[in-house]
Amino acid sequence: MMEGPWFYPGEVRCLHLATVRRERRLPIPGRVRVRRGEAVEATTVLAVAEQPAGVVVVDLARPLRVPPARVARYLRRKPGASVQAGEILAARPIRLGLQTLRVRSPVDGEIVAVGGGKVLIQTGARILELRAGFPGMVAEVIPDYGAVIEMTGALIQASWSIGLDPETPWSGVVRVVGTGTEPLRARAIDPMAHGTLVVSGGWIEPSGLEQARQLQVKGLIAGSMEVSLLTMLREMPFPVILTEGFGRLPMHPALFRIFLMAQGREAFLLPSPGPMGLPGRPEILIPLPTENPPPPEPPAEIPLRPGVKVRGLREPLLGRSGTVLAIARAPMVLESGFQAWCVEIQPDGEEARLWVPVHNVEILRV
Amino acid sequence: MHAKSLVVIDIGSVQTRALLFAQVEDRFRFVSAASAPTSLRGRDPDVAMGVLYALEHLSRLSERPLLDPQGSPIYPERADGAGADRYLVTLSAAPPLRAVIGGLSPDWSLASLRRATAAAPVQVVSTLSVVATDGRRPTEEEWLSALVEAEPDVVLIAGGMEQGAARPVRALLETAMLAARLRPEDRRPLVIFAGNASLREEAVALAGREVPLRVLPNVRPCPEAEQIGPVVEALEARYLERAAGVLPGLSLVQGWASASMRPTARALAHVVRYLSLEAPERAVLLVDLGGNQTTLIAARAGALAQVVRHGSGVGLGILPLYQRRGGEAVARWLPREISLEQLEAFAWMKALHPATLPQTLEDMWLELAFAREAMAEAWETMTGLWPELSRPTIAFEPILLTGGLFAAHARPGALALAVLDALQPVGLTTLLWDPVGALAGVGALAEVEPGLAVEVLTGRPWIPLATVLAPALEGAVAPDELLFTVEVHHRSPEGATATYEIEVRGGRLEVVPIPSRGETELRRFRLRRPVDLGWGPRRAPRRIRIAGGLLGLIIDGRGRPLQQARDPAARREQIARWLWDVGALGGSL
Repeated sequence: MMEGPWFYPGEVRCLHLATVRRERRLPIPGRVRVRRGEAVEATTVLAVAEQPAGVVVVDLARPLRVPPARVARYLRRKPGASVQAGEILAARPIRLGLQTLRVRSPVDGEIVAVGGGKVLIQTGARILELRAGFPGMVAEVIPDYGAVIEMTGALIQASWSIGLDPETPWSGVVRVVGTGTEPLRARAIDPMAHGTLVVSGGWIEPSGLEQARQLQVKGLIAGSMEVSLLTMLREMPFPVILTEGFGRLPMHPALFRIFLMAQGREAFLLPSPGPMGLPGRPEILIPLPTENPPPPEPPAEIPLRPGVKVRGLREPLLGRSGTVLAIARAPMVLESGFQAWCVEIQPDGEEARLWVPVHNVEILRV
Repeated sequence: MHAKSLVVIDIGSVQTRALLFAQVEDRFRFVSAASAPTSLRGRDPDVAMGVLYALEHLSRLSERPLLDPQGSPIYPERADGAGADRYLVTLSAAPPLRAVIGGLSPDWSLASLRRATAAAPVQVVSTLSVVATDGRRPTEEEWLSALVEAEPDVVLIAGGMEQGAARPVRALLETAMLAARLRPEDRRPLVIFAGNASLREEAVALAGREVPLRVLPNVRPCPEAEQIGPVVEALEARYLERAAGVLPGLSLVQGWASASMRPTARALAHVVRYLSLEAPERAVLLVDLGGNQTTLIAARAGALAQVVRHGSGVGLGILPLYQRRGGEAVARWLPREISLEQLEAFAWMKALHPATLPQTLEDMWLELAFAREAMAEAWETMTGLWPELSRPTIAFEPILLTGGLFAAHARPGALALAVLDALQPVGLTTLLWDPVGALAGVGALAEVEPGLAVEVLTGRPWIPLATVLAPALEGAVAPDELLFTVEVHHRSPEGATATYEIEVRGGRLEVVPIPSRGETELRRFRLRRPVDLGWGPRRAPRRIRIAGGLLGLIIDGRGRPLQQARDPAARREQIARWLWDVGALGGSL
C-alpha cells in the first residue's frame, strides 16, 4: 500500500532577510548593456530594444507603371536605408530615357520592407529600456534579453497591484500608518506622508485614497480594498499594491511586522506578470545591509504537511492563517457538495479547528 | 501491437489531470484519474511540475508507480505493473492565438473565417474587410495600421469564390505580408491564405522566404460550400507550436509523450463526432467548462460545429466573463441577495486564486451562477455562427458535461439545473456527466488507438445524470398551471411493475426518481394546454422508454425561453424554489 498523495498548493513568501535573485527581461530581443559582477542601481539600464512605431505604405508599381514583381529593379533605396521626405525612392526611365517616372518618399523614416509593388517606411521607433528595478549586482547576463540581479534584504510577495510598469523602477521610503488592522482613512495619512510609500495594515477606504492623492504619496500598500474603488484607483498617479486581495481583509501580521521593521527604508516595487500575461505576484524588495550574505530564498515548492503555516484563500478561512494539523486520507464531501482532499487547520489565535480543501490554502513561507 | 496501458495528461489553465487507461481482464477501460494545479502563477512557473505532481498523485491513487526515481515517466509498462505503455498530452492552458482575419465580404468569406476561428483556440483581435459595413472601403494604410497595432500571431486571409474576384484579395495579401515583415524575424505572424485558388502562387511569391505562410483550400469555394476544417487544423497546429514557447516546461512534457500533443477541444471533438455517427439521426452536444475556457461542440452525423471560448470559465476566465456579462446577469441566478460589489470581489478573488473550490453552499451557488453565464454565452456564440442549431430546430440527445466545473461535484441536482438554465434544451434528452474529465483522454486515445478508444466508449465512461423532458410552451404560462400529465411505468428485472402519474405544472421542475435497474417508460401523455414535447406542437408519443440517471427524470415545465421574475425578491424566491425542486438548496448529501 502506497502512502497518501502529496499536495503542492501555491505559496507566498515574506522573508525578513534573504539573498534574492530576480530575472529582468526585455519582451523582445535587444542589446544587453551590463556585465556579470557589475553593481547596478534601480535606474541602471540593463538592456535596450527598438519597437517600430508608425509606418507608411508607398505604392511604387502604379506610378512607375510596372507590374509589382518588376518594381525591385527601379528602387533607389533598399531596405534598411534612411530616407527623408521628398527623397526619390524609385525611378524608371521611359521614352528612351527622355523622361523619368519618379516616386518620392512622403515622410522621413527608414525603409523596412519592399514587396507587392510597395515600399514600407517606418517613421519612428519606440525605444524600450529595461532598468534594474532595484539595486544589486548582476549575477548573470541573459544574452539579448537582460540579466539576473541579486540583492540582500527583505522580500514580500503581494497579491495584486496596479500602476506598476515592468520597465520602470518604482521605489519609495516606507511610512507605516496605523497599527495594523484598521481601515486606511484620510485622517491616518498626515502631511509627512508626502513623497513616501504609505503602508497600511487594513483595507483602503475612499477617503484614504483621496488623501493619498492630495498629499502626493509615492505609492500605497495595504491589505485589501473594495472593488468599487477600482475606477478611482485607475486615475491615481501612484501604484497601489494589495497583499491579500479584494474585500475587507487585513494584512497578515507577519507582513506588517516586516514593514514596521523597514520603517524609513527605501522599498522597491516590482510587478510580476505571470507567463502569458496571467496575473503574477507583485513583489516588494527592501535592501538591507548585512555583514555576511544571508541564505538564499528557500527552495521551490514544498508539500503540505503537518506543522506548515498556511493562509486561507476562501471562505470559511478567507483572510485568516493557521497551521496544518493533518491531511485527510481520502477526499471529503464539503457542504457545497464538492468532493475534495482536505487539510485540518488550526487557525491562529482560535480554538476551533476546521477542515478546508487543500487548494483553498497557500503555504506561507516566513 | 496495442498498448496495454496508457496515461493521458490534460493540461488545463487551472488543473492538470492525469488519466490512466488500461487493460483490465478482457477489456480496455478507464481506471483512475488524479489532478494537480497547473501552477502558472508562481515565481518559477513550470507546467512540467504540475504534470509530475498529477502523475505522482495518480501513482498513489492507482497503486501503480508511474515515475522513476529521477522523476521521469516510466514506459513501457514493466513486468511488475509499473509505468504505462504510452503517454499522451492534451492542452488548453496556453493563451489563445491573436488573429487578424481578412476577407472580401462579411457574409461569405469572413463569415466562414469567423466560424473557423471560433472553433479553434483563437481570439480575433481585428477584422479587415474589403467590403466595409459602412459602405466605405478601408485604405491599405488603415489595414496596415490595424495589422501593426494588433500584433497578431496569425493572419488569415480568405475571399473570392473560385474563378471569382482576385484583385481586392491580392491587396489584402500584400498588406498582410508587408505588415509581417515589420516584425522581428522570430516574431512574424503565420499568414494563412484560404481564398481564391488563382492567387496561391502570388501568395507564395509575396511571402518569399521571410514570411511564414500556409496555403489552404478556399474556405468558401462557392456560395453553397464551406470547408473550414483545414483552417481549424492549421490554427490548432500553430497554437501548439506557440504554446511550447510561452508555457515554461511544456517542451519537456512533449518529450515524454509518445504522439503529438493535441488541443483538448480537438480530443473532445473526436468523442462527439464518434457518438454522433453512432446514431446519425440525433445531434450530440458536449459542454466543457474549465477555468479559462468554455467549449461547446455539437455534431450531427459527423458534421461538427464548435465554439472554443477563451477568457470564460470559473477560474482565471471568471473575471473577463464577469466584465462581459455584467453583475446583474450573474446575480439573477442566485437565491440570496448579494451586492454587485460582493459579486465582483468574488470574481477578482477567484481569478487571483483559480484553483480554489467552493466549500460553502453560498460559494457553490455563486460559482454555478458564473458557470450558467459561461455556458449561455458560448451557446449564444454558437447559435449566432450556426443559426441552424437554434431552438427549437434541433434537440440534442445526449448532452455531455465535462471539464473542471463538473469535476468532483457531489450535488448533481445543482449541476443539472445550471445546465438546464443555461442551455435550455427542448424535447427529450439525457445529461451525461463526466466527473473525472475522462472524455478528453478518450479523445486523445482515439487519435492513436481508435480501436481502444471505441472499447472505452463502449463501456460508457460517464454517469447518466438525468433524463430531461423539456417541453416548449406556446404563449405565457401561469405559475403552477397544469400543462400535461404523464404516467411513469417501471418494471423491475424481477417483473414487479409500478405506475405513477405525474402532473407537470408551469414554472416548476418535477424530479422523478427512476430505479437504476429495470425498464422505465413514459405513457399516456395528456396535454392540458398546447405544448411541444419534442414531437411537434400538441403531439406526444404513445409510449417512450427512458434511461433515468442519478437524479432520475427531470420534467422542466418552465418553458422556453426561461421566464424569470422581474422583481429581484420574487426572482430569488423562484431560483430557491427551482433549487429546492432539484434537491440543491441545501441539506445533507
